[in-house]
Amino acid sequence: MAENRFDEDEPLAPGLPGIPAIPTASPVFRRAVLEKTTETMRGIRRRWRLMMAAGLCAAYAAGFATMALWPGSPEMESPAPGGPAPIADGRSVFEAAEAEEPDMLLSGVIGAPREEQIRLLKETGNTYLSREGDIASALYYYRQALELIPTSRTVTFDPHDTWLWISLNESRMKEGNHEDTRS
Amino acid sequence: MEAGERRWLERGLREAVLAGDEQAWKALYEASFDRLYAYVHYRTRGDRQQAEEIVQDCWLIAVRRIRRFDPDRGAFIQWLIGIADNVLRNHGRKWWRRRWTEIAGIEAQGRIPSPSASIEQTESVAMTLLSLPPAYQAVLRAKYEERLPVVEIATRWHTTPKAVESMLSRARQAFRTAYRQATG
Repeated sequence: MAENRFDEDEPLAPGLPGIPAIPTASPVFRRAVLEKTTETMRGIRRRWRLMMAAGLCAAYAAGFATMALWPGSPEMESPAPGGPAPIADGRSVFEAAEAEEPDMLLSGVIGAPREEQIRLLKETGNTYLSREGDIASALYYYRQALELIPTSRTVTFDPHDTWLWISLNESRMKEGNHEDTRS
Repeated sequence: MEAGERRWLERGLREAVLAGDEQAWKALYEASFDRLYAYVHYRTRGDRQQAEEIVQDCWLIAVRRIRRFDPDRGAFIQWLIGIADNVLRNHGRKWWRRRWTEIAGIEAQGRIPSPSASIEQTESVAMTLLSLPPAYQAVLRAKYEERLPVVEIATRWHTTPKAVESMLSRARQAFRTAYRQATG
């Protein structure tokens, strides 16, 4: 049996006595590219989360709109005991919203006292939300109304307030608390 | 690394990267960085500045398109090299045309510069070497790049010459097999 002897000077491969200097990148460049790609990865992840959240909101809004437009919807025909409560003049928020056109409501905003402006903008938001399921427009007018309410004022909710109005107020309060904690 | 092992490892890393795991991305990056850099370095004929620009572009494309990487269709490094070829082609349109026209009056027409025979061999050797496990790379570079005798490698690594000989024999064998496959 032939002994497998080690030859130190054996070429690496036929016709290949040595290997060339392997090009290597500088460690600074290597690290910089890693940091850049990691940052890009984080950005992609953030956008992905936002898209998921937007998708969920859209699905929720679509469901809400479909429910509101459904002609035989039991919620629309016979409100549950805990359903929309009557407002000042005895009508439900949906009825009140149905009754007034957004343009009519908005025409009264200019020149009106602040409290009236808030009420009209809020009513406009209600109308868009309840009649057309138009969350974007409702959001727009609700935010305008909220801008007129001083942040120091404690907001109380009426039983007929919409989910969007309540949700916006709550997040505004949380944001205010957060700001206070930070300062 | 066996093909099957490579597949499940890279699939796992890909899934982890998609879930936002930065360590998984770092693992993929570190495992392929040197080979991609060497490949681009040879393709740009050793132009460091251009090589760095292209390598950076490749990695940024890779991280954005990682979802498209399919380990069943090939290794991560092959996918990266495919990206590098496209980036080189695009850079070639802008850069090589300008440079070749300036230097030699040659119209490059957006081609990837084809390496000459000796450059091609150098590139094959480098790429083969970089595909081996790190320990094999180290011993081969010490012996054939730095031209150190076995005894000196052993002293430097605080081990015995016998251990270095054994490692070198296995590394040579692995290199020859990989080199034959790479050069056909």
